[in-house]
Amino acid sequence: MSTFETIAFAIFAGFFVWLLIRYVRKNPTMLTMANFSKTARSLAFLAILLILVVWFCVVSLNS
Amino acid sequence: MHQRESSLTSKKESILSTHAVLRNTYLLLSLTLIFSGAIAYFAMVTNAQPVQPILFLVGAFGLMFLTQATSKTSWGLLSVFLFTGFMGYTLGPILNMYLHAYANGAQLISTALGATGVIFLGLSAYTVTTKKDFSYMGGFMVVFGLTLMIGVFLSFFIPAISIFISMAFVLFASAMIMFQTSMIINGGERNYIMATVSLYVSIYNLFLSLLRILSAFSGRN
Repeated sequence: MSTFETIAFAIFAGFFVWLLIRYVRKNPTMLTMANFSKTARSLAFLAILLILVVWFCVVSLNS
Repeated sequence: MHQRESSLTSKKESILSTHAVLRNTYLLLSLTLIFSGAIAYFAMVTNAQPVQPILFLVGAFGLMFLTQATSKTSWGLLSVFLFTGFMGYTLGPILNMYLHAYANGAQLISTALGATGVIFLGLSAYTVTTKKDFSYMGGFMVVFGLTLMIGVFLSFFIPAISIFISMAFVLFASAMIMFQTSMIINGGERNYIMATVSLYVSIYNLFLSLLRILSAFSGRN
């Protein structure tokens, strides 16, 4: 990776860190503990389904 | 009595409007996917060179912002096709790379494509039939998405984490499909151009991440 690309990627990463901090600071009402637990539950359920789909694909590709 | 009638009329209008947004979104999504697929095929046949990562980021984000800026005008339709065409063009060299790098490249691509279709249709059908409101996910989906973008840039410096980033992208893209569909159904999204872009990006990310994961576990060099 060239120096230019390294600097550009670091700038892009810094921009997204700034966006993340800004979003968290400006939206405290959307990032509540109740919403977090409901989101985590939905994502966990979704993750189980996705693992099953990927596992099925890997098994069918390896057979 | 009069109040009840007017409440029923406004409810009916809201449902009709929601159905119109959903119908227009799926119609535009199908057209953009066909267009994007045709451009990807063209890029594959002409052996197009891979797009530089920085050029890809500037092009993808630039066209996405252009689509957002023009989404309330008829120019939005043109920019959504420009955006999906650009994404399709970047997909061509990636697919060529998988076809040449792996002995079972064609099988990997078709399996990833099939799995993407099954996941998209399954999650959309679940959200449309249950009409479940996933709006509570909104705030954390933004945080998840921004964290993933930071992870993508980190993976340029630490390539070992790229497989975990792909796994997280599969989860994020699937959750976004559910969230966006729920937003359309429950009236949170009224602009079918922005809904199409969101679903298109989710499908694109889901397909590429699945391809990356399947090649890591089942790719034969």
